[in-house]
Amino acid sequence: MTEIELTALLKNPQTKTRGFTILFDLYKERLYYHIRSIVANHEATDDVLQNTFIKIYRHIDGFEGKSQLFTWMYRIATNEALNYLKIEAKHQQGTIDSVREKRVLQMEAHSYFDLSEVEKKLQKALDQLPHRQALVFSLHFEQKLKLKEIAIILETSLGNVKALHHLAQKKLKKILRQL
Amino acid sequence: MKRTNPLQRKPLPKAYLTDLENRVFEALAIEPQRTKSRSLRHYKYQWTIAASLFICIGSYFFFENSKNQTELIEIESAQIADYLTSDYEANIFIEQQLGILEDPFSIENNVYDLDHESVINYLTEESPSYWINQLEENEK
Repeated sequence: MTEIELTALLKNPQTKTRGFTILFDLYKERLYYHIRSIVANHEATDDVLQNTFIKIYRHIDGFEGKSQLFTWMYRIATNEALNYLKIEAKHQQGTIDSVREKRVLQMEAHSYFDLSEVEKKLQKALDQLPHRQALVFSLHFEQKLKLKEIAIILETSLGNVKALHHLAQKKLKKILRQL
Repeated sequence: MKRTNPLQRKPLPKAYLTDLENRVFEALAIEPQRTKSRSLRHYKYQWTIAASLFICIGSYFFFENSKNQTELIEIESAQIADYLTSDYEANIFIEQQLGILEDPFSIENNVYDLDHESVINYLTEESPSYWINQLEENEK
């Protein structure tokens, strides 16, 4: 099914639920890992993911089709995840990055997941990056999105995304050597 | 040996995804709606049969059409050959007549009207079937 067909299903009140079920099945895992790369914690990811899907369903009528559907969804997921971290940072009287850094130290394999050593190493390394660099890297390498698409999701320029990507790669190499 | 991408995430556990689905759809007060999905093998099988039928039917019409075309060409060639033969013979007759006309002896002794009727008569008389028809008529 194409994005245009899926959008048409979602915008029609009679087929909205069916369209949303298809959307949920297609994107639940991708959005999970995208959010997780930002909030660095399964419980937080779970909360944010649930809120993301609810928001998508309730605001689909507002989707104008100026960008692609998945870009719009990723933007909602990113904003929800960053808002979550901002609230946490406010409670802890710190910054978003300090919140993520604490989570790195506390990170354990959840009972639902059995992370391989490689995945643990990579997650630890990503969590040590500034959140925007981690986000760009994760979107590009894990979600296989183009830098142009990432720029749309993060509502920033392509040049900025390229710079963040370059810095992320550099820092990750350094961090992974030390782990 | 295929290198696995360490960045490629493992699929999430089904139990978690089911739990997530239940919570999301419950919060929205809707029920998931899924159409009956068929296995890919089913579609592959159906497409194979459809493609085979299409090829068979298509081939039949193609070769039938080619056959008609060949026959048509053959008929046309035969007709053209007939026409050319008639035309050739007519030309020979006309040349002969012109030759006779140019010959003083012929002019003196023979008067030939090169009209359409003469040509037709010549062709008819020279044609084997003409004599056969004549014989048949005489026998009647």
